[in-house]
Amino acid sequence: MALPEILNGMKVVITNVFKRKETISYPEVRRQPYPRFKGRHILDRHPDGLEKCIGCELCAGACPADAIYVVGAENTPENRFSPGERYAQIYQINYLRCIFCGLCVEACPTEALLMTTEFELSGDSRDELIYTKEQLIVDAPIIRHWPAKTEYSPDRSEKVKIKDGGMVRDARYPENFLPDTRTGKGSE
Amino acid sequence: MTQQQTEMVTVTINGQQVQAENGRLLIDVAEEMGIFVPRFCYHPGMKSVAVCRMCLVKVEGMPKLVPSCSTPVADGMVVETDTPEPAGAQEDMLEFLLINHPLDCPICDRGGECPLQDQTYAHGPGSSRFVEPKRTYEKALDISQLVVLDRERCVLCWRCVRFSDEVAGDRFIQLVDRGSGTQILTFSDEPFDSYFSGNTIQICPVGALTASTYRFVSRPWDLKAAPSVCSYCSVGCPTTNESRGDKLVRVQALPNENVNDFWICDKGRFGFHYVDAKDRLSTPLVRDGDDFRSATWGEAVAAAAEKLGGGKVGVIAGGHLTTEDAFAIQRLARKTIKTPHLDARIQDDGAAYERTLAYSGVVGSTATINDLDGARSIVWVGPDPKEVLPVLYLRLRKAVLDGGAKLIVVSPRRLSLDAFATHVIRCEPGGEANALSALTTTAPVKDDLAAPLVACWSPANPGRETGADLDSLLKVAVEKDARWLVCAPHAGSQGMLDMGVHPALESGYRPIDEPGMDTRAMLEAAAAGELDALIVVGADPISDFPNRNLAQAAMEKVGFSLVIELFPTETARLADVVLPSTAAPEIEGTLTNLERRLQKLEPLTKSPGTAREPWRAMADLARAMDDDWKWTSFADVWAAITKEVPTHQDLDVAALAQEVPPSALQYESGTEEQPGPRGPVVAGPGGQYPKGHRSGAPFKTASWPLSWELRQFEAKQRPGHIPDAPEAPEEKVGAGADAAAPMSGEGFVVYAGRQIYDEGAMVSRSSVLHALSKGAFVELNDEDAKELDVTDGDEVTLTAGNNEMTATVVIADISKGAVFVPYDQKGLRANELLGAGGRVKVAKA
Amino acid sequence: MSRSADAIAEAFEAAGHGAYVESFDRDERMIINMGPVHPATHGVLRLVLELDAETVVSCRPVIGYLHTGMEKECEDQNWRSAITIVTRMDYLAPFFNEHGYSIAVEELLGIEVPKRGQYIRVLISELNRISSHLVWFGTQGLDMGAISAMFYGFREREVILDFYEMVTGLRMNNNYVIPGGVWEDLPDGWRPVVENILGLLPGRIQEYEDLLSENPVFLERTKGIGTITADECGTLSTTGPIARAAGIDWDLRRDMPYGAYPDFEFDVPTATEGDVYARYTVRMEEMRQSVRILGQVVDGMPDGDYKNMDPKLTPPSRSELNRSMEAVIHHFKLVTQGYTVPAGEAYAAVESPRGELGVYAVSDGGTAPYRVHVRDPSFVNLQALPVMVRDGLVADLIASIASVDPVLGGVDR
Repeated sequence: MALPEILNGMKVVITNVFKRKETISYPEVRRQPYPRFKGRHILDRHPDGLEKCIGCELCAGACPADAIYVVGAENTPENRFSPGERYAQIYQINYLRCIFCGLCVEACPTEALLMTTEFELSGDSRDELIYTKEQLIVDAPIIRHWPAKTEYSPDRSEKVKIKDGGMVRDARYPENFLPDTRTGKGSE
Repeated sequence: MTQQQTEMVTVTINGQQVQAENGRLLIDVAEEMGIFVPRFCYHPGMKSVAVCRMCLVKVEGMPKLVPSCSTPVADGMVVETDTPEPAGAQEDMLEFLLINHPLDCPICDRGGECPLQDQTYAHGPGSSRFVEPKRTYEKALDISQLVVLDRERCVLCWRCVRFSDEVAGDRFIQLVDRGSGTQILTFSDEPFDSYFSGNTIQICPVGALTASTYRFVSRPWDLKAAPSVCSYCSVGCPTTNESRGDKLVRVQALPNENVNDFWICDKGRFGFHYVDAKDRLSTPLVRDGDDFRSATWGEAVAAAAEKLGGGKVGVIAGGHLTTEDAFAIQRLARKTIKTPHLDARIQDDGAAYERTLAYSGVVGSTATINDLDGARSIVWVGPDPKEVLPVLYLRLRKAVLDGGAKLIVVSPRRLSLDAFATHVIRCEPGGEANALSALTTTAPVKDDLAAPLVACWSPANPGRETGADLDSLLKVAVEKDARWLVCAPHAGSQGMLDMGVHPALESGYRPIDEPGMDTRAMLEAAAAGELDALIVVGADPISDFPNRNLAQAAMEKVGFSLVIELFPTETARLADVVLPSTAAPEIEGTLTNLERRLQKLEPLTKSPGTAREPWRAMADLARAMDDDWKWTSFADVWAAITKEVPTHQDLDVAALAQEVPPSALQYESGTEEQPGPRGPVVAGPGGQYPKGHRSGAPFKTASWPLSWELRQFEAKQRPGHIPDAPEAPEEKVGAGADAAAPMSGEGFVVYAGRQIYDEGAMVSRSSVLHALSKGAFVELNDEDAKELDVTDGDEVTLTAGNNEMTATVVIADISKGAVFVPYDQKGLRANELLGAGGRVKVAKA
Repeated sequence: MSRSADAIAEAFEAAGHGAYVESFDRDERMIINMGPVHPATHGVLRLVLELDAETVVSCRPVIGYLHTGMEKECEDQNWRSAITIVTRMDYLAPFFNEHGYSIAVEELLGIEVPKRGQYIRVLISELNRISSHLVWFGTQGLDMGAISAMFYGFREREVILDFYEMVTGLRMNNNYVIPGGVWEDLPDGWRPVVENILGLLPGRIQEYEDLLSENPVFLERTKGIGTITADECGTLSTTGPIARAAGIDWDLRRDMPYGAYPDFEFDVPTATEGDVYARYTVRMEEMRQSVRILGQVVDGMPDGDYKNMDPKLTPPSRSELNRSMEAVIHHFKLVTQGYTVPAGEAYAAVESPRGELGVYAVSDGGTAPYRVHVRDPSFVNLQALPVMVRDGLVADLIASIASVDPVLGGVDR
């Protein structure tokens, strides 16, 4: 009756059965996000170890979700955290509120606040998802919740074995972040 | 004179024609039309100097651009403010200013509410051409306990210099050096020591002067603001309270040309830390042996109500309570407990405010503060206004120096007013009455007593009879057809009088036939064991009453005592039941200032624990005593006030509500929506952040009403119904009769007076201000000092009765035979000395 | 005595969620509640159906289960950060929300978008049209029993979403198209990725057609089903593929062009039948046309600014922040307070995968929108559903819902 048409459809299905598998067995195997990926934040340090964050609260002012809470304080010669007069005494990001829009990173005048490609943010309680300065500052390793053995490149063309699957430092640095927003050059 | 001022001329600004008073400044006329001319140095509270060159505009016919802040309008003037020529000049000025400005916005406290930022964004260039190194100075100098100076950020607008010179009269900050090295600095070894230094922070158009208490604390978008009134002294300066989260972080002046112009004192600005002091009471306490235990509100009220039911009950109220509290206190006393013994005069024990009733029908002032400006002569009798009523001091100074009024000061010691007074009459302590009686007859003073005259009086000498000098002053005033300012000391004192918290007056200034006991009599009765119960609301008689031992004995001997307080004061520690009270930034309420102006407080932060307003405590007590007032809200209290208080019957309290102010830093700038030279993308000055879920304040852009709206507003603020004055006063109070000051006798007469920063429960909890308190000192006449063989800086012992104290000698202009001691200072509790007869022996230590 | 359908529905609603059954003289009508948690209603759509046996007598869509006040929420943001809200409305076509809003704000500001910015917008929008249609294709097939359609549709969509991630850092709710242009330039290596997608898609679309276009089961369930006429579309303001499938030759990209669309050649596919199958053919052809536009975009991508570089509108560059006071001030003001927009109102519409997506923005001259209203095509098109399904079978209702392709985030806003 309509056999040719049905066979035509079956041909599509059967061809696809023998094509490369499109899914990956997350979390044992994972795909690396692209460098621009907006994941959890880090607070960077200067090469001399001082914090880049100066507690200026611009990130909090830019945040559309009111997810950032910063309280500034004054550096003293004995207790110096950052260059200049001001540092962040309290720095918290509430990941229950964060919408990962990246406006805070754009707002940061010292390139202290950056976004990593880390996206596995789950927790057992609300408190656990309010990240404090200690958790955000860059010396803390980014802990992945599930160890993984294999990782695909962002476009899934390459496959890499990862050794320390539980503890991956994957912070993204300014050079591969915001291209100079005012040069306006196209990047080809 | 007034005729000329109201002559109207027509000017055209940006194509709009407008009628303006001849001689007004172009910048003001433009702002009223909604055209904002950028400015840094111009401030409506001070004279124009036109140094910043930011407000240049084009006036047709003028060869060059003119500064609009120093150009008066003239008929037919055609002005352009936003055409390429003036806009280009403004842009160039900003480029110059930014050359040396440090890249500090992210760390600067002014960031986000900074006129330099706002005007650069609205009028400045978008990018920088300057590539050379910037001029640098040492950053963040602590020029006083309260003010931090960053010279790099300064744009040399002179506002702080002019303020300290013109307005406050403390020349402590000045421009030094020349050319590009010009900088603002205090004189090398003297700190920026002024009672008004905080105003320089508020008027600084950049972050050069910042507050040490607000350093890195918050950002404008974190702040929630509420209009309020300073609850320290009776001037009643309008303020903006600002909180981050639920913590009060900043208090700033709100401009009101009727009260405070643009200023508040440092006590009002920095003295808010008491609100979240660690020892703030948050739960009711009930005595349990030698100690207290916490109780629920209901339990504590029930325990108190049980003891207040019968017997002889006294009620003492403090000076920092609201009008509603005052009304509730007198209602509880007179209607529920049915006792006539209530009083709110503690420090000003026995001050005879009620004597004005015979002359005017009101207890309190007939003049307004604004009357000072139009006065030809002013008489001041009382304590040093700079210490007790600081902003009134500024207004007096302005009236004399700008308004040309003649000031006559009658005082036993040198006051800060003497510096610009026309006549200073140095009298003996207690001899003010005699000195005043002689005013109208003695030349040359009598020649300078010209109408319009404002006579000012404030109770000066705690623990002494003051009725006679007030009477003498009022006689002078009546003779000269003058009005008077009778200044009760604290923010709530006048409200207490209005509401009838007075042994001899009912609410609405109605005299009572059989007056009850005043504070002293109540304390004496309690100390003698004749009082069954004492209610003390918002007061600390042990620290404040001019006889410490008496107050202490009273609290110990009284059958039962209920104290409603913010802190565990010395009085509260001796109470049987303590109820926690609320602070001014936490409540909706009204305060009545020394000119009987009602002003509204809006709530901002939450009070701790179960603390409640005293009026709620009163209503709860009444309910526990089977007299349910059915009060649940502020409006309920006012419904009762308008019904029961004749002077307030037509008052619409809703009309007192003020809008949430814009960022108070920006009060002098308005909205700006006009397209700039670079297209329509310009933001107006004013901390205008998106409203909504942020913890920040919903700052509006509309300019804060400065002129006529406030005048309209004032009509609503002063109670309307003043009873007619009774017939001319009888001559029964002779000038010399009451004024028998004990000038003879052993030792020196103690003349005591409050200092701005003392051991008061509220101000001493602000650590920065407490550090500024002067400590124990005693002022001596130089002749007396010679006799005692002491000089400036020596230690002396003061002995009165069993009390002995040490103090540092200050040689001062004070009448011979008298010593001046500060009232409530660390190491010197004048109320102990005063309690022992008012005389003190002085000996070299 | 028979009661009107409305009265029955009212009685039903008054009674809560139980099934309401009543006997009538002639027949046994049943009021049945479909959704709001039903896999075939594509979200939290609730349909109150009045059934006569298997025949739909009437259908009333009930919405609001996803209402979160997003339009109102925009008023609490500044003009720039409101993008993060509007992008969440029609979550399958986030770039269209952002694009429409941005054009409205640009109109109020009176600014131009540089050519490269416009091209990037077209690039990302047309990819978004394809990714959105692929979800429709998957769910339409799934609802018709062709589960493999779902696999294939989502497989190709994944490739496009990867590209979004590469460009914007996020796979959905991208916050990328902003007033004045786009937030960031295309990253290095974007071209091979897009070319790869463009090379892949035509073949894959052909596979879909092979799978369904002539499949007798599919034809049986879509041809002549859910019909709506051009007149009815006009009356109900229906736009997009539904209207085009009913014979209304109207596409905003061609008829009221915006951005860089006048630069590209493309056809607007139409059909006349107005049934589910016609909508299927129109959407399949639209994907092909999008691929055609994308080819032209990739070839013609100009150099230059990708957003308006007015310093009063765009925060300065990082390098300037370290030396220029003007830059520091403008950065501070722009990121915290945002720019003001002159008072006025503007309406801008873009052709979203579902039809005319219009944004009406009102400014009072401040830094936050006074009002943002979005004319979301899902919301308007949903009105056509009762017309399509009347007197059809319940099973056909499923086909019709899938062909309306509503996104409840857009419906409820």
